[in-house]
Amino acid sequence: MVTLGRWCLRCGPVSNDSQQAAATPPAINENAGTLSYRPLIVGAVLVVGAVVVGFAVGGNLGGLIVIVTGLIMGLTGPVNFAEGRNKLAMIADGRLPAADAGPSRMKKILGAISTVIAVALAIALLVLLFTWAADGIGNWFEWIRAADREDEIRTRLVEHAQLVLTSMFWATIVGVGAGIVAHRFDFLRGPFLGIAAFFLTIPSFALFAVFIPISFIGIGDRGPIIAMAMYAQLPIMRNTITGLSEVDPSVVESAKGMGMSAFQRLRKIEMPLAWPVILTGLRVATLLTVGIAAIAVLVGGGGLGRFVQDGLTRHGLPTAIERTWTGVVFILILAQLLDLGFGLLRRLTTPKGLK
Amino acid sequence: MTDDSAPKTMIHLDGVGKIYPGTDVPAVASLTLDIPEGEIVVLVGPSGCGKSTTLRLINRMIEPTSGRIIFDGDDVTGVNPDELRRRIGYVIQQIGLFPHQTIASNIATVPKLLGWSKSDINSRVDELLDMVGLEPGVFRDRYPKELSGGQAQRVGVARALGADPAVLLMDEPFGAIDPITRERLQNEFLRLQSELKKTIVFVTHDIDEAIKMGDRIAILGDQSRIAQFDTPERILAYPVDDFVDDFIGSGSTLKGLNFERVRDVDFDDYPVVRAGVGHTEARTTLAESSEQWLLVLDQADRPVRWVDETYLDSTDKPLIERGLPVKVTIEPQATLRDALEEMLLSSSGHVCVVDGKGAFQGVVGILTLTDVIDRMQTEAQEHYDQLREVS
Repeated sequence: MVTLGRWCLRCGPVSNDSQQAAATPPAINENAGTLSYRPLIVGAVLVVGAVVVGFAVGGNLGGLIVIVTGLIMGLTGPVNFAEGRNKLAMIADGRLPAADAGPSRMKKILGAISTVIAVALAIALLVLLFTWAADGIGNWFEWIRAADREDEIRTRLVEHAQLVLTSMFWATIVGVGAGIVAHRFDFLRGPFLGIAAFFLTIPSFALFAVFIPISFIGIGDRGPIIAMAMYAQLPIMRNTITGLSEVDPSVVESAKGMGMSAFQRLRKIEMPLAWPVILTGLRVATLLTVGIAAIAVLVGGGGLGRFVQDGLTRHGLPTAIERTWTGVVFILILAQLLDLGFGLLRRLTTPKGLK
Repeated sequence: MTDDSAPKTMIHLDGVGKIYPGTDVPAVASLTLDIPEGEIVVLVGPSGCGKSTTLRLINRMIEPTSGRIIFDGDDVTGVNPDELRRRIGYVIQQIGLFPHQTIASNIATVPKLLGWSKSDINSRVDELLDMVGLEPGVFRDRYPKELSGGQAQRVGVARALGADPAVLLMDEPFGAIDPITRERLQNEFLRLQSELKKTIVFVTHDIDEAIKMGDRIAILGDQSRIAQFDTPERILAYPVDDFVDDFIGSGSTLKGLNFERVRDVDFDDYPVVRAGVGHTEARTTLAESSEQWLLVLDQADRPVRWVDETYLDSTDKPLIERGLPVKVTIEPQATLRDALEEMLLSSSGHVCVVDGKGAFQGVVGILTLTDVIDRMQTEAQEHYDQLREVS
């Protein structure tokens, strides 16, 4: 499920809820990988409509809220809708007992609406805060639409995404690898998770700066990439271990009994079955690092953090708030896009029999 | 094991034992056992006796700490366990189907590991689904969660038979299934086995299942010590000690009657007359025998009436209208247990044996059964006496 509530998870270790949600993924039939087109059209209309209405309102507070709400509903609605519909179809087929169906469609709709309202309220609060701090942000939309500024935003956005994704790439290799090792050798579990938890307690600014004196890292993106990968270890490693240990022992036993080697079991049985849980860990870790990546600018890295820093250094001068606001808004948008990407990835990579 | 028709030994366990590190008490004390080719050997014993452990020692899911395992003439105690396991089918109670793979893919597991061609695998999968009674067109592309418990267990058996292994290890395969489905699966499996002739080691804690499924039964005590290893008939007729006697429980004589068939016993010398004869002749026939009842056959030799003295008067009414009807008959392939059941229902306390066309073959009475039970017990006793003399 694509939810917006993931943002809340960024501040701490993986919550149990998210692990369980992933361990018992919602059941969806074989069409699940493909979103049906009708809700997609509805979603697209919502997105476009929201943007048009938002700009028509004139780029003030109301317009912003309309845009964000439309984006959320338009992007997440089709996914949730398709999921619910496929489930209902499966119940009708008798392939899924009604008790397994999870929340009813009504509850789903209510849940989606309340999520949207909650996020909209949070954004509204944020906007109010900025408005109060900067005697209004009515000109913000015009400010970001200046020709060269659009280029800069695009560049920074790409830099930010690159920073996060590069870091996640290495974090995944190390974290999943360590998780597999810790699952296999039980006694390593405690130490590995302990180290990963310790990483999370280091203040991010300090951790980013710690690498500067090291000659082959220095200033720039490398330090932040390493630091962010370190922060990502706990959710990734923990979910890898949890996912692997939640695989039904009788399934592993029968695989072994049929003569699959340890590596074949891992590759063909354990990893595919643990994958939804591992992917949830990657998702949490990614959203965690999207925010932290804003600090990269302080050690010479790129990314949307630059807008925030520009704003801070110009404190009291014109456009200071606009700059900070730009950084924050686009980080939130990037986080939302990545979350959506993970939702789709999960849908496309979860083995059919598990849905 | 000395047996009349000594079949080839498929698996020979030679002093196999397992002691877990950090314990002194072995989980399996030294176990020596021959599993004959093409037979179902059932390991049965109380919970915790180590029967599952013993089974898992054979395919080295648990590595033995002592002894040797001889598989089809080769010592496999030291070979690569994964390769060994690909030659041995394995079915467990929880089945353990791979939930993320289709039924076809589950069944193809071992053939894939062995590198079969795609077309070979596909035809093998369909063949196996047919064999276990699941329509390939319907089930091939389903996922395990779309199966009932009984269907899943059939797929489990099909998967174990994937690459046509000579040996099958089954650990309480029908244990988690409701009694009605279990009975059906047991019967189907026995029918399958009569065609496949696999060597099967079967673990259960249920003595009735053991008696039903086993060509031979090993009753295991603590640490998998063999209390008795023999055919179910002989175990029922002659439990070697109190432990076995307790374990097989009451009714063992009755259960033993399941193994003898009506065609193998001598029929009683019973007074019989044709429907057409007169009452005087009938009375003479009855008087010459020591029986109370006279059996009347119709023109096609079918037994129709039981008649006793009270019905034989001077009226000379046709015998076919006198006496009591013959309500039940049995065929020669019925078991003595069936015969006993019918005897209890029969007016005369005897049961008529008829051939496929219903023609009279003979009569079996309760004394025949006691004779058979006597004989079984004596034979079993002699068998064990002989064994003792030899050793």
